[in-house]
Amino acid sequence: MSRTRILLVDDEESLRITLAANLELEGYEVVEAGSGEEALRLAETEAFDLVLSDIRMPGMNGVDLFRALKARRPMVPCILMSAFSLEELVASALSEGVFTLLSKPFDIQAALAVLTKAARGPVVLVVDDTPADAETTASLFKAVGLKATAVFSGPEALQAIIEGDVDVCVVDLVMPGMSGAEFIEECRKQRPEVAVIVVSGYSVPELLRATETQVFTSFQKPVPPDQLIRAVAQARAPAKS
Amino acid sequence: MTGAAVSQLDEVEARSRELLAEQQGAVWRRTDRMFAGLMLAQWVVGIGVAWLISPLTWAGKTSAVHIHVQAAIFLGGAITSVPVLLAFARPGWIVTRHVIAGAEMLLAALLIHLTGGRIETHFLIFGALAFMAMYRDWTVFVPATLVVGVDHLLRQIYWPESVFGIVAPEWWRWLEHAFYVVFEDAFLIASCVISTREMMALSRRQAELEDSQFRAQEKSAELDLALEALKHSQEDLVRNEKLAAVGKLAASVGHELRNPLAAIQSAHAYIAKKVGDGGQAASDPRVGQFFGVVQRELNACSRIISDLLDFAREKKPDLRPCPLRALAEEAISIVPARAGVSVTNEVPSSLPVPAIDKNQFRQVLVNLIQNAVEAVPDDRAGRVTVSATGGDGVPWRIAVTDNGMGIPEENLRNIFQPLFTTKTKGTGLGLAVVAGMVERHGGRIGVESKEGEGTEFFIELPTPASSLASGLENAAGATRTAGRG
Amino acid sequence: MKTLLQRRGLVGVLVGLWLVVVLAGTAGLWKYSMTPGDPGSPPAQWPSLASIPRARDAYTLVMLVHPHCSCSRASLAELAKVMTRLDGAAQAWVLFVKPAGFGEDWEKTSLWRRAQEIPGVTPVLDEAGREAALFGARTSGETLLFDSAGKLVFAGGITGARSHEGDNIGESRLIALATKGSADADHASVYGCGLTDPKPTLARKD
Repeated sequence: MSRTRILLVDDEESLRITLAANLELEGYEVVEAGSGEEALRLAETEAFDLVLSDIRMPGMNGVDLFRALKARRPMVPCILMSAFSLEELVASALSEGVFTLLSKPFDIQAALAVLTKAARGPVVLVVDDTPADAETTASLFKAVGLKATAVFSGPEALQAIIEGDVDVCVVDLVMPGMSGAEFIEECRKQRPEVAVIVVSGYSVPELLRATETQVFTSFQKPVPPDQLIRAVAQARAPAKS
Repeated sequence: MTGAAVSQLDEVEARSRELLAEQQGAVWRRTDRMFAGLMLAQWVVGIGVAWLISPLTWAGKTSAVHIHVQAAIFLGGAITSVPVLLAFARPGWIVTRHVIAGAEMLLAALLIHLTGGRIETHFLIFGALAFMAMYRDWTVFVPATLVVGVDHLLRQIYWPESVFGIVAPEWWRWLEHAFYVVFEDAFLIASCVISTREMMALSRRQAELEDSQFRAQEKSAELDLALEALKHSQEDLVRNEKLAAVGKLAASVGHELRNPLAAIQSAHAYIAKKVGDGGQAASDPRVGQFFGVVQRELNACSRIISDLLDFAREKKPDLRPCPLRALAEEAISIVPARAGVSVTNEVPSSLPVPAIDKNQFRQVLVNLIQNAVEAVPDDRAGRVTVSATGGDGVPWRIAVTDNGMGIPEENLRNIFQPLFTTKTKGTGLGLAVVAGMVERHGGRIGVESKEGEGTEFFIELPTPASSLASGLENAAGATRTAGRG
Repeated sequence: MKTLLQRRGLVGVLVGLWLVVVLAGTAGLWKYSMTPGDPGSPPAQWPSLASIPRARDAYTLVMLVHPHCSCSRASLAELAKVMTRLDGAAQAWVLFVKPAGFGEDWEKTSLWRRAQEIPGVTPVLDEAGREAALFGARTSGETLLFDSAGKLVFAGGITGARSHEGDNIGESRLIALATKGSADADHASVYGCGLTDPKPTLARKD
């Protein structure tokens, strides 16, 4: 198997070269770019499995680079790094399909874990007993280049989680048969690393309390698409220490 | 003239009338009492006079008490009775003084009669009229003059000689008498009216004085209040300026430090791995140890920067329903454990779910729990508890309690101020950050502490902002539903 | 009582009653004063049995007075005025009627002294009312004027009401008769105490 190719973009040399070195130790093949323009040029001619870019750069910033890259190769995951959090910029990037955001300074090991996960190409699992709703939500993710699958019941979802490479789950709380809460409990037991986002049209708090588990976040239907996508990206970030 | 000015004038006018009425009342009551005494004296004098002049009436040998004496006692008594009664029971009443005025004239007429129509006794009439002026109320002259007039009229009709002392008076003689009475009346009435006007002017002046005094007091109180408010806002201004300055500094420092730190961290990670693989350096225990040091201190730098940036950046809370028990569990797991200190999650799982910014509130709990754990001295088993109550229309109250050293009273006021710390290490921003986050949720943070025994930090969140009805709070600011859905 | 008087209605009633009582009392008093005494029956000619002498070249005035009648003080005051007006045209006697049974000097009252002081007037004691009976006088203050021939010219009182000084009809008539010789009438009401004990049948007064 060929090594995973990462395009690393940062104008700060110190961070770029040390980061590249760490990545190579882990077995990645790293191509460095010192600016957004250089990165774009490289992406024209070469193929990459993953893009890791700083946001704040002179000239083309990381978000514009991401948008440009997505236009050419929509299925390549892109992870952004930020020291300065320009709220609106970051928020819009996250809702356009950036895999996740790493806040500097970040733990290298944690960052490596995220990169590994991104390279694998994990799937967002959408669980809803209404097929139309499930498919619609799944297609939202697909439209921005994120892999997503729709299932229509708790047991189906459990199966998908055990068999496939799911890292985020978007669950409708109210389902016949195995309820959302029950599913979440099972999911926690079997695959604790999966982040759960809860969606519901009804009174959520009691159900949330009933699950008594750590849900990443919750939404009420109808869910604004950009917020949902942003939430998925945030769920994929390394845990805060 | 403004509405306020008009009503102020009305008030002053009303108060003047009040004062005037008080004064008049006092005058009337006093004069009523005086006349009562005078009439009683006249009655007694009348009896004495009658007894002196005509004690007995004769018919040959037989004698009887003269009718004049009887009249002096009984008619005099009758005339005096009702006025004195009224003066005693209802002094100051208008009817009282009118009855007194009429009765005084009747008494004078009786005395004139008892002295056999003596000219000198007639002086009583004019004297009594003058006394009426003491009432300073011109209306009393009406009954008095009426009594005199009717008496004259009846005498003219039935007993002309008694009035004029001559047999056939001219038709206009009654006018001559009337003239003298009216003449005196006119001047006395004028005097009463002028007197009353003067009393009114005095009252008005007093009312105005009272009014301006009151206003002066009001102004003074207003000024005091304004001064207080000014002082407070000045304090606030100074504090806010300090905060703003600190915030700006914190933001710029924090931002600037992030990149260098990231680079150091990255470099360190690589070196650590490389050196740890093998070689001479790996065998030296200190090498490994010091790599640990570098990592730890880098983490510390990270945390400091986070503190600075959190303090500087006032991020609007992204309110979502978030079960408190789970959040507390997360926060507890983040805080490094300390030997001898137990941290318990006492948040009931049945607690209603508030809408809060999960990340910010987790930070709040982490800070508070961290402080609590550090506050426990070495000499005791530390107990830190996280608890919460509220929901269902009752304001939330989340508390972190410890049995540590407590906070001295003089520090309690300042602990939420930025850059205030009693620790040897630390930015002094932790509690300021917490306070800021709580306040941006619309809540308030407080502390109760007993030195040597323990401390409790409590956060109160108001119900409308945090209660959940049917549905979630959308960070974009969807309308909040009130009541349970 | 005080609280009773607080009620306006009650006070109104009280004042009304009061006015009525006072008016009635005053009316009664006036009536008494205006009620003339018994005019008696004076003789048309000087009684020959009279113990006082009659003037032969002037008018003779006789007044009969009860020594203790206070009302007659006014009569004497008017007598003084009359004497001044008559200016010697008449000789006056004041007979002090003393009923039987009273001691010495019972009649020497202030009235007696007053009568003494008037020029041209001589007070005389009328023991047991003998002279009064001769002159037919029944009321204290009764004044009789006889001309030089002994004819009765005037009989009546010279006060306007009991114990009331001041001009009056009787006085004017007497003076007119004594000075001018004629007047609109020759009598007048007399006001005073009774000179004799009240007779059981004597109820009416003219």
